[in-house]
Amino acid sequence: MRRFVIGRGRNFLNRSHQQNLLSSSSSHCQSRFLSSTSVIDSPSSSSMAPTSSPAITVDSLNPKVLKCEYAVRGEIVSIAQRLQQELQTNPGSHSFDEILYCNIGNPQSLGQQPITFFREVLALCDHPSILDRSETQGLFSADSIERAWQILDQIPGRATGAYSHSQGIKGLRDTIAAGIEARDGFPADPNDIFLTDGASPAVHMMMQLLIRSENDGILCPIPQYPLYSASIALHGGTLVPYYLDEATGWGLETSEVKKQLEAAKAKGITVRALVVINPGNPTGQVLAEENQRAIVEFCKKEGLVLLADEVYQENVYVPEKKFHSFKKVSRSMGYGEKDISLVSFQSVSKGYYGECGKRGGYMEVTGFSAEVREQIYKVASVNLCSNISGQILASLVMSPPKVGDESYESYCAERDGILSSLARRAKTLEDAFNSLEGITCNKAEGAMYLFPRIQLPEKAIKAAEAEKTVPDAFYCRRLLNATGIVLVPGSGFGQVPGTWHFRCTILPQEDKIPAIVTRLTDFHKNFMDKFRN
Amino acid sequence: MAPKALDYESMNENVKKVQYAVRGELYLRASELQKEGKKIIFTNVGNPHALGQRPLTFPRQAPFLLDDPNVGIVFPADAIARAKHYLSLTSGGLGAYSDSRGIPGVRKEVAEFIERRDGYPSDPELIFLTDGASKGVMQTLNCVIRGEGDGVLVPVPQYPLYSATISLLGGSLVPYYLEETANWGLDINDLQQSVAQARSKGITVRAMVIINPGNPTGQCLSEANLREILRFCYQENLVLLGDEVYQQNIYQDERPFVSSKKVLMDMGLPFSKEVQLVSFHTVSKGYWGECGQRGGYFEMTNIPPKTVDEIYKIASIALSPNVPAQIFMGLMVNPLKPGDISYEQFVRESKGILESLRRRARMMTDGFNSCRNVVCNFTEGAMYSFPQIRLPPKAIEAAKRAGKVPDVFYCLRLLEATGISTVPGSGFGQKEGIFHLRTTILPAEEDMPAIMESFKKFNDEFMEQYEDYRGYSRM
Repeated sequence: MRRFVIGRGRNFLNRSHQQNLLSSSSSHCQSRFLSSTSVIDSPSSSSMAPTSSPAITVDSLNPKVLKCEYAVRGEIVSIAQRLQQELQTNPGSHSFDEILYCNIGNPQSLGQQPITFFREVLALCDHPSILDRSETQGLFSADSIERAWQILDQIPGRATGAYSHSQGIKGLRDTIAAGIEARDGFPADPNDIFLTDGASPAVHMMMQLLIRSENDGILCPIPQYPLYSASIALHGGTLVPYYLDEATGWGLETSEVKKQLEAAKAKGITVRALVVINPGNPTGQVLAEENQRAIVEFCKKEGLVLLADEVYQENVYVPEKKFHSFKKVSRSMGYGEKDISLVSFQSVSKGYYGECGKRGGYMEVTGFSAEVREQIYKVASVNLCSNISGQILASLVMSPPKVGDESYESYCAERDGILSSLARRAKTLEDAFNSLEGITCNKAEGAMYLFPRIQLPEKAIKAAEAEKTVPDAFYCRRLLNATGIVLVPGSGFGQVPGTWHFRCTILPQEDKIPAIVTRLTDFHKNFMDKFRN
Repeated sequence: MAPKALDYESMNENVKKVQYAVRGELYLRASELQKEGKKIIFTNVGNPHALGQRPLTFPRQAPFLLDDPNVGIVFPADAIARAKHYLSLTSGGLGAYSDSRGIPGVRKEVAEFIERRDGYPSDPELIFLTDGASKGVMQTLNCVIRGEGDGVLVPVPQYPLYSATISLLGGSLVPYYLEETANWGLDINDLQQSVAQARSKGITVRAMVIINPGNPTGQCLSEANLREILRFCYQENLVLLGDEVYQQNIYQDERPFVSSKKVLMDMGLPFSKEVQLVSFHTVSKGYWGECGQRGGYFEMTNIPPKTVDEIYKIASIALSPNVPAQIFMGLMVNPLKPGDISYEQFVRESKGILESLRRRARMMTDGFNSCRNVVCNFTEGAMYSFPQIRLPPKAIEAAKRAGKVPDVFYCLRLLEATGISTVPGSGFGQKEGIFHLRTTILPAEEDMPAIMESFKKFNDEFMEQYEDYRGYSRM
């Protein structure tokens, strides 16, 4: 092979030189060959200097990449990371001694503990050879050992290091389907389930399938979790916004959705799907069942695919609201496979388990023809499969310990402890925000965020403009520099033009909350003193 | 009733055009047969653990501890120490999203590995960890392909991740043919011709993919080859995508693995500062075979900072690669050293696997070459054997009548007769009228002789059935 290539190589430069002279179509063929002699063995020869810029520069990148934005890890976070470095190398360089990341729903990074039973099962599945050791019986609960055996038996050859079926291990999908049925009271088919590395890749897959060109639109709530806007931009589609109503606790009115649908159609956009995030992110509202029924009816009538982001289904903090899956709502309305196309997303990153780093999740795909399902399978297969650990976690999340299991009581204590703490933190922070001048904050009925609205004084808005910054980013940046608290500006999620918000998670541990409230309050007072009209 | 949004007719056409044979028709048929109770030998995908390769002990101990640190009694001190080390690098344990580019401490270890391997410094800021190398490839191509006017040079035969991704992204695949009779050699002339042809059709050729060692072809590129390729990319203004996931799977000693980055740096100026290169690696291959973890990385060379920012932005939308696999990556690039308690066992296990793979590569090559109408280049590296099956005209006709591509027809018959599940060569691309199949070299060594015998029996009977020499002699 070596001889073969070198022999040809000598001819290559001569030929390519000639071809460069001959071909006229491509702009890349500006001749590099300033001299007419071709020399292989003098790399430093200036005759080889390129006259056009390198292949990949920002200007020549895929414009869809340039267009998309993702504020959750945007500019503010880069500044925060820099400040954190400064604190490490130069302690005392700022008026705070730690950065408090309230920008991202990443519970375990802020001290939330994983659920013991889940970690026990995962550990045993990762290193099955210790299942034979007697010490293991003493260190692990009996039901975690049993569950690990059960799962390992569902994996061909017990090989947790092997690529699985591209939809995920069949036995685990069976478990998840059973879990969905137990939750909803309606059957679920394991063949409808696609296990993915977190819910996000599943969302991307659906966008890829649905979006053919920029003439295809996807209805998204405003404010929304910016995965949707980013994904739509990446796939070259059009985001069709529908506004949630802040005055009514971020209510979703189908009349508003209908209005936006018609407006998009009038502009020549084919609207393909409706995204609903329930419980909402960043808004935290939990939809009432009649609301959900109206949405299902709407999608059925308009022929839209309903994309139901339900990753926060276990995060509901108010007694008067309950989570109902869209699958359950549709089925209870008598609508089946032939009536509505529905994709439901779930994740292991949220709830009370918060296993963000594991990247586990799934989508349940119902109401599509076999041929479309084949295409979904095909796309999934190009990435071979999702990570096995995440798959196992997804099955555990959908079938946790039951009454009578050895781990049941401790599991419940852990789960309830986390959820009740989240509810308390949601309330404390909501009250704190509402006590600040010019800030109103809707209740977080669910999810992990508060999304207060801030009435920025004219002076502040002008100052922001002078710094060429969006006003809510201006506020967040100042807050960060003064207190070390990282929030995400509302403009990263979308908001009614002329209104400003920011998103704050409820995740810092309870003992940190008083300090956060104090720092926020002090900062805000100073800010308003400085910029008040 | 209004047509539904996701009816087959109204789906994204790019999705419909995509093909990924590794888990395509043959695999689905094999799965059906398996359900019916037939014993199937899956040689369709490079998935070592599924065929009985045991995971290395040490890396499985360390991450295990990270899941439940109470089990110190059961593990050697070095596994415990390593677990503590990686835990300290995370920001909240295995269950927290990490930096979207991957845990900084692990990326530093990857950089150190690259530096030890190549002798040139590597910048952790230019290394991104991903959920498998495939994700990294998709992310990179997503940046390169703006529309169907953009072309990517891809070897034929190739691993169909490339064709599938280019299709999904709406770009153009510009093929360059590897020369089977020259041990799957790369002819720079053909390369230049492919580029010229593409350009004459108005395509802007932006990138070139090399897979070294090759998949499915297994050939290992020499340093001189790599120099020619890098020179070519320099002259034609192409970013080079170096798929090096099989760098630890080398079964001959004439051409050890040398990375594209090392060769580029060795070439010195202007190349070392000008040629844009993205190199890919994984925990799925080598002697690790941890496919199910989904761990990989890519390293960028000579990519401008603003572009790196954009790539980071895209990575951040997926939040972070999975943390356990990042730790596997750390363990892979930062292996045990002599003196470590687990060192001997680790060396024994890894050497054992590699030596066995080398023997199996030889067994399969020789086995195929002993069959009628089959010629097979030696598997110099990677995990596959890619024999050429010279199908007689009558077989090709039979395939047409059955409505199947000839090599699919052959592979289906092979499957039904022997339970051996392979991937037809058409899934990887091949020259017109030439047929292959891809099998892995992964079935257990003790099963190999029986498998090759079974194949030979089927093949020779098949050839006899369709060659029909008696017909000729009557004339």
